[in-house]
Amino acid sequence: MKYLITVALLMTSLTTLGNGLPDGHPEGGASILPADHDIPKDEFGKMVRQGQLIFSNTGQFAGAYVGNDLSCRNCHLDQGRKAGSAPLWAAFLSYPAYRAKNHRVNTFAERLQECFVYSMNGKAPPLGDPILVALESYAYWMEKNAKINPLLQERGIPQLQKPGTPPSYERGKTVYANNCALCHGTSGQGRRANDGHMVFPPLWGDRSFNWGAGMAHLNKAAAYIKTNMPLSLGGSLSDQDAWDVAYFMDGHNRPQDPRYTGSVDETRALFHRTQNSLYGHLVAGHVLGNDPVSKN
Amino acid sequence: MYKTKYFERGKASLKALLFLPLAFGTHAETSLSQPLISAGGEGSKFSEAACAGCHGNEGDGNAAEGIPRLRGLSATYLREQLQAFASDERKNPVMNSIAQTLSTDGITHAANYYAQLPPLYRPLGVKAESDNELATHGRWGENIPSCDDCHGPEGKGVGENFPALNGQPALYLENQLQAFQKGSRPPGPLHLMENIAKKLSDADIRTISLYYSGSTPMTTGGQP
Repeated sequence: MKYLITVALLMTSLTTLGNGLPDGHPEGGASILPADHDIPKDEFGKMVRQGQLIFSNTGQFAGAYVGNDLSCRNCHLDQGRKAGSAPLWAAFLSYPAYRAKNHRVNTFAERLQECFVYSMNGKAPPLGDPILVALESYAYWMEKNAKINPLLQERGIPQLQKPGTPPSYERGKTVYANNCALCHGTSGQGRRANDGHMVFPPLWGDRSFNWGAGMAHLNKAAAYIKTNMPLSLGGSLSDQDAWDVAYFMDGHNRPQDPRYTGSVDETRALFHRTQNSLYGHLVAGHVLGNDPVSKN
Repeated sequence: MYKTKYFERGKASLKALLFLPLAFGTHAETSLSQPLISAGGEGSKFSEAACAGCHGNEGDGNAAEGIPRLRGLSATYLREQLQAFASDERKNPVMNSIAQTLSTDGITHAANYYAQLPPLYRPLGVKAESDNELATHGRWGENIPSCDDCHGPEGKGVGENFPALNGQPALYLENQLQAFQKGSRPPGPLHLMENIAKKLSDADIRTISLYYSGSTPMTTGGQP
């Protein structure tokens, strides 16, 4: 039903240039999203709040399915609202969709499962698990109550043009030291609050996302960094700096790809046959993927 | 208004400080292992008693005067602030004069002393969701992250560069956000705080400051 409404809205906006859309609908601008105080105070609202808790403190509220120190909100900024940080509400509107990653049409819930397997280096909550229901409810609530730009310009991560010069580990190291180490630590280990909460997520090593995550791809990492980093200063790095520092980040070891076949070469041939993945490459003295625990 | 009040009180505190060696003289003999602040040589040494005159025993701060809590802040952060006071990059008449008399060792001792004291946190509460909207959610349409995004949940501080906001006097926090706006303290690493503070209204600053001081009227949580 929701999809019918969405399609109807899309068609209306395309055919009548916005006539007939609700007042205040941002036809050309950014979508307007609901605030937390709009969450209904009923059984559905409780599930939405639970989804928000899981999204913000994933290890605490979905610990059985998390294998690292990350939370959803670490990348999906503003609790899954922010444009250009793969916002949750726009993802909700983008599924079911065919994905080259697994060669089939995935539902939104299946896409969430992948986040747990790769980005969270954990395992997939079964379909129908309250954890997935809560996250779906949170995403649906956000989308349902938003005034959405019909072109969905905020979805995913904006693509970044190829750099003028091939990305460099050494240049990336300097960019990292000057712009990233302050929060993510000199060894990419992240930083915890004084009370123990992980605040700045680890970017590589055994407590970060694994080799199967989207962020382990240079194009996605560079685009994400350019758009969103450093926090509050998104867009301040040059395109070249973003590519270089993405190369530096993804040029370190991280947890093994869960699709690992027993051979790095074979895993690379099957799942990393792209210049955007450094898996299986020799970078800074390490064959990436060979040594799942970072010693760089 | 608050800035003015702070400086007026500040002058009074400076006057009081000049008499500190007398005021704390007898107490010092029994309870202090550190020598009192004293000029001479390459600069003065750190004196817990001298600092306590304004910052309270064990660096608890003084809410009415807007004087910050020092206990539990990182040694790196405290040292950098004292150095900035000494070089006048961070402007405060009282602290500029004091920091300029301290030796390098004195600065290090002061920073280390307060860093090793355990932090104290206050329960933070809100009456309406708007009371902590900026503190816990930010305003991303203007690229303003939440304060907690960098200073940690409930502003309890993260590492050496993101000091605890929790429990600092509202007046102090308000003065600092205004100082970042005006450039009367260094802009912070990557100019992060200057950049963010300049996007905040007076009302934003007031709300954030009250929230972290623990003095926002509460409907949930305990009273400090």
